[in-house]
Amino acid sequence: MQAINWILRLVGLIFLILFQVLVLNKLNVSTYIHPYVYPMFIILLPFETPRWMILPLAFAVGFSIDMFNNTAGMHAAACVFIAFARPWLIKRYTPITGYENVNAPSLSELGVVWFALFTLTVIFIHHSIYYFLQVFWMNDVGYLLLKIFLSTLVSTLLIVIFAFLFAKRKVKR
Amino acid sequence: MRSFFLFIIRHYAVFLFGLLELISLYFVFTYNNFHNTFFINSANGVSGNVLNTYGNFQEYFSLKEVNDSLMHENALLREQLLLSAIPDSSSVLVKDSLGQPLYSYIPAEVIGNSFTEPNNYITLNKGSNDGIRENMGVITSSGIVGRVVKVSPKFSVVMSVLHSQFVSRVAVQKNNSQGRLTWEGKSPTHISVIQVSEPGTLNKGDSVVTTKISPMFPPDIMVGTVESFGKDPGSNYYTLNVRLSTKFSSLQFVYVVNELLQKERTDLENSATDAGN
Repeated sequence: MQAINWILRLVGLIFLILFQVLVLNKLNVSTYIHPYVYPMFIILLPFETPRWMILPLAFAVGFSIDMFNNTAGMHAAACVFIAFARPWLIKRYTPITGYENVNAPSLSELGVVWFALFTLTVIFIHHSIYYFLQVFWMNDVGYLLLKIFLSTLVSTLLIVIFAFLFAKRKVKR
Repeated sequence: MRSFFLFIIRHYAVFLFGLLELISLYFVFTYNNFHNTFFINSANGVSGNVLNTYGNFQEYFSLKEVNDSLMHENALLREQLLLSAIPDSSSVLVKDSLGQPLYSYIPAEVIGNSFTEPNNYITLNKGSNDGIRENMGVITSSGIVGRVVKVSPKFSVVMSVLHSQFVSRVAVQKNNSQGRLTWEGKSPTHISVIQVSEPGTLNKGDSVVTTKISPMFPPDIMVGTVESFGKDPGSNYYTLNVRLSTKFSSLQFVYVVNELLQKERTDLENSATDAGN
């Protein structure tokens, strides 16, 4: 069961990367909005994933996006950071009832609000680091903040929609 | 010593985290170095092939647009053909006095393109097998595109004009007052020309073109048209705000400029610098 789960996750990861590289990166909506949905893979990993595994995995995922984007290490840096911060965020966002019988962040079992908030936080951290590394030389704080803010909103929205599409059919309100 | 190892093992996650972040940041900051293009990677095997396959598929959706732009270019070339029958000074630019061509063009197709990032790159489906080398200029029928920064046998990566480190000298066509091209990183349709010393009688809509000094491009390749201009405070230089003539959002076919006498030119320039030292 575990093994099948991981295979499904990796297949999902490949689809996420291709969707990111071949669809989202080509949208070029505006210089302020450039959503990244591939961190969804890191968001959805099981709560119990050991650190020695999640950190290199996040690095590899970020780096593969870097390969396509010619951004050399920026996505990798952002991904490793969210992978490192994830356990604290999970603890911070523990629902009142605790995580009983739930072994991974999921929209159907923890509810839309929990999932959206968790995603928003993770994506906000990811985008802040990524865009900071990318545009700090421009010395334009207003542009940087607006870019982080707008892109975070769009990315989060997309990830929640994705989660809805692939959720098991029993969404808790 | 034992407790030291126990400490490391207990806090291995922090060390692993620190190590991976250091590696990433090392890549980020070495990549910013102008000559280090080691990590410009969309020219490599896997990502190059994925982008290429997708590009082949995507082409079908823009056949009409491509047809239109090719028709337009055909018309332009036909016009030039007519003009070239009359001996005028512009034909001298293409050939030297012995009739030897100065430039040849390698057509290529865009398979990867970004223009909303602060540093943009374009991936082409031709590489060193087709004669593309680093530092060649890239143009389209409507204007300049960028400079080749990395080649693999089958693909190449172009630093777009929309890149913080792209530099080129350009001039206002009308009066040849020169300046330096820089992109501020926000709008993919506009670019600045800084340090223009003598704008003379400049008007809105004047053409900005490449010069004979810019080594990668043939002279008189269109850059864009002047939209506004102003004097820099505290200096005698002017800054022009130029609307780019190349539409980066719909880039598909480009020409890589092969400057045939480039080696002779750079060798001579280098030996002159050496002699000067």
